[in-house]
Amino acid sequence: MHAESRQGGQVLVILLGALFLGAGVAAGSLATGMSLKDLDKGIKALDLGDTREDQARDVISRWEDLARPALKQRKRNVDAIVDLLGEQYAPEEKLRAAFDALQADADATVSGVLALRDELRAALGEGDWERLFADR
Amino acid sequence: MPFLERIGASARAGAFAATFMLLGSCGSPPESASDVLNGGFAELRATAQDVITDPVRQAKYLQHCADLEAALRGFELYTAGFLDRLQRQFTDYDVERAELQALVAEFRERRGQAQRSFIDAHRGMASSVTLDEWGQLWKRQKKLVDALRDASARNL
Repeated sequence: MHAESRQGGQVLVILLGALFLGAGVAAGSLATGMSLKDLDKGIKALDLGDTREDQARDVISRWEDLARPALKQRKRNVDAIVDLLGEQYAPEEKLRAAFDALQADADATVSGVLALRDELRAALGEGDWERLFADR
Repeated sequence: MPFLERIGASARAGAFAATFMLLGSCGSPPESASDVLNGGFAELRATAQDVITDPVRQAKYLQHCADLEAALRGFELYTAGFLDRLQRQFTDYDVERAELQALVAEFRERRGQAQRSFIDAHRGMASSVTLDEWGQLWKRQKKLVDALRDASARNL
């Protein structure tokens, strides 16, 4: 993806709705500049041998497993916020609680992604990690 | 061409939540985030000037609207820099998890500040208008929020 449009998408994602972080990171592109699909392709192209490739691709697979529900949860959280924003006199505590819920889910997702990064880092080693992210 | 029809699917949009752009399907070139914000807020102000007939309430609403815009622009600027740092550090083999956690914690703090500013401005806007005026203004804003969410999903 062209860097400009990617960055634009990222900024939009970040700003959308509720100043969140998690789901975008879960989807990969915010943290790495690459989609999870592209990360998977990149790992295959590294020619790591069966065992290491399986390990690395398993991390990506679990990253996808993390992303899917995170995106669904984000939608539910943002729906709740938008509904409240539409009420002229929505109680402030309800509004803040809705934002807090969104952000708590996002933060939990980010923690999960950071743990997966550690696993991917261990599976690849420094040389292959740098080859995978050579264009970053 | 009206602003709402000019926004392309990959618009570099820095607008957010109760604001102000609609994703067009016309395939026009993407606009910068600044363009989107400028156009979006200009439209909102114009709508408010049409809808809110009492000059005192109108001025109050517009002041809160300006506060919202300032909060968004400040956070957008910060976010662009944050994303650069996040990607750089995330993809740097030598960066340990603790460093990334510190970066995310910093973002969380700034996000909280922006959230508070946003909520305060939003509530100020809502409290400046009558129920009928709010209904008309929110109807416009809701369309824009929905379009932003569509664009966001496509850009992930």
